[in-house]
Amino acid sequence: MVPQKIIHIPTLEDNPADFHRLFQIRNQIGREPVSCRFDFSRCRYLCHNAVAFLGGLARLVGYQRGSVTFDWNSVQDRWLKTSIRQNGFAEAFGDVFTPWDGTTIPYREDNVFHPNKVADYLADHWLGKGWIHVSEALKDAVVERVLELYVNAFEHAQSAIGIFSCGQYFKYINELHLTLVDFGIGIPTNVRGYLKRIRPDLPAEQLKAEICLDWAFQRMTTTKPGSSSRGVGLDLLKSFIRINRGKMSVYSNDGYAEITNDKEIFQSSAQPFDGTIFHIKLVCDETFYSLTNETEENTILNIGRTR
Amino acid sequence: MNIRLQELIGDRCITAEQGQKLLTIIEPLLLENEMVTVDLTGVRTLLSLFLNNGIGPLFKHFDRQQLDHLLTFEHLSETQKQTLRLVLQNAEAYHRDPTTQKAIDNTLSRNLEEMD
Repeated sequence: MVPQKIIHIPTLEDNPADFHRLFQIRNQIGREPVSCRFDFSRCRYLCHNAVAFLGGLARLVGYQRGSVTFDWNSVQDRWLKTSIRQNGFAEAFGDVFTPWDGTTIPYREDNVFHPNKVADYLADHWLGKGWIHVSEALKDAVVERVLELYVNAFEHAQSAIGIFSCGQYFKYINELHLTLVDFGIGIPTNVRGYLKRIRPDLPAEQLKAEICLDWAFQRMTTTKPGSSSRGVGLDLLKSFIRINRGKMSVYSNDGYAEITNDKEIFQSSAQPFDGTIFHIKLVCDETFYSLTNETEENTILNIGRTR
Repeated sequence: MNIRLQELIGDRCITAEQGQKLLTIIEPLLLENEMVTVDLTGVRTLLSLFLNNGIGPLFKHFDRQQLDHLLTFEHLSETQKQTLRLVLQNAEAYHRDPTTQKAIDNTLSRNLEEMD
């Protein structure tokens, strides 16, 4: 019989230190079959990042032929109890309460990519609750850009258990957040593997994570020979984040990337993680949803007539 | 020939398979020198993956001027125009300029070579 590990889930917000705590929990569980119990008695708050991550981690443990029990009776904080019931996280892991509408955005698991369902999730549950007063056309445009992130994850992550997402609307700062987590190969590992294939004479494993991420986030790059996609989706999302004055943070293997309207940061991460997290923040102000960058538009080659 | 994408694919054009479906229809027409108009009326979601597979491979047969002459897109939103232009730009570089891939790969390997 496999001994049960008790994992004490701490209070988790969305600071880098909170992400590192999540990665520590993942490493604490290990890669062998294990039986775990998630104990929430020390947790006062669970940000949507942590919800997506812990949900994915529980599925990963199951995939590794282990098991996770969520000890919902250990939840002490009333607000925490409400939020994880409201967003469906508790129900997904054995709680009897049915989720309901509120400021939380539902926890979601996608083992395989059902584009229409994800598009509906983004349109109806993420954007569609009236946080942002936008037209249907503009809503569709935002969904188009964010959906690129899901496509990218399913194209490149090689996650055996799929993609896990959750979001939150923060009324007091007027921001809309969304997090996607996969426990796949990770971007730096993917880039190093690609370099190894095309240049076996080079020590690809020594390529720094920040170099890998910087390369992967440039347009025209791809780790898939024969593909003409070449980073278009991420590039479109980056442009949108800049125009919106939002923020995209990426944790992948031993690397970290941050994209805002005025800078791109690529650096090594102190706490490695097998997989990738995309965390995006959008400003809920209509004036930041002009999706066409005029300067960029004018410099794009005029190929293919459009009317 | 006028192709209404919403009727052919639906109001969400997202996947590679959907793109390939469009390609199988327009590719033979364009190879016969027939003018093709792709009408996006009613298309709510147009993703780069769809266009990479539906339009990108046309650069195997045509250059920019030929496609510009033969292929027209109608009723795109501003974001859809942006997506289309970027996909076309990348596909043209990929299919028409064999040095592109090498130059991009070199930017990666140079980092290691400079460490020596």
